[in-house]
Amino acid sequence: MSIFKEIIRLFNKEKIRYLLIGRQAVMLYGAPLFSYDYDFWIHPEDKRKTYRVLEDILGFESSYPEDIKRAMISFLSDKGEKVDVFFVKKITNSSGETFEIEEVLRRSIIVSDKGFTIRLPDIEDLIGLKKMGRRPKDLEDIEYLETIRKRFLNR
Amino acid sequence: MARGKISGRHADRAIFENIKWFINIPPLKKIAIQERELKRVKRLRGLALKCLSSKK
Repeated sequence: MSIFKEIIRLFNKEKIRYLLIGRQAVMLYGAPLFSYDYDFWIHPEDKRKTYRVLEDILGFESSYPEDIKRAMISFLSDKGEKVDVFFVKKITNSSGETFEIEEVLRRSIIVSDKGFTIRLPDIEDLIGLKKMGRRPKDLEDIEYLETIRKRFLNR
Repeated sequence: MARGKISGRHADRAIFENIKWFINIPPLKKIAIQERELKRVKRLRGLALKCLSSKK
């Protein structure tokens, strides 16, 4: 099983309140865009469980120890896989919109295939979260998501 | 897949066509395609690095 699927499987098994964000989520919505890393937004109360999965079970090394309070922690594997995790209750994007994790989780969608499930933010929330960054890559992701929202989901 | 430098209406069309090709692929297959692409890029990167180091 690939590392990505293994992470998701363990997050689901441990009942970690996660959301797959970033380009991997954009890809699962239907944009053929590729990324090297995996971005998650995880409920800060599930930080301990997340460290246990990523460090103790999967052998990733974190950029900061668990007791250090940081909004974003990177986890690196010895094969070069990178997982970025936001452990915050809310995120404010560059347009000043604030997203609360509990609200985004409540509106989230579950993508499933052959019993395998992945939790993603609703497309409108994902577009909002993408506005955190102003890199060309983020703008491209937003362009794709807007096209999917208007022309494929009719919203 | 990559849409390169296309602008305006053509860019919209290119994005639409890219999505049309990819959107209905089941999630696990999307992940598999992504992982295959990543492996290919890593291999090419490795080859490029090898070429660069052999030129030194």
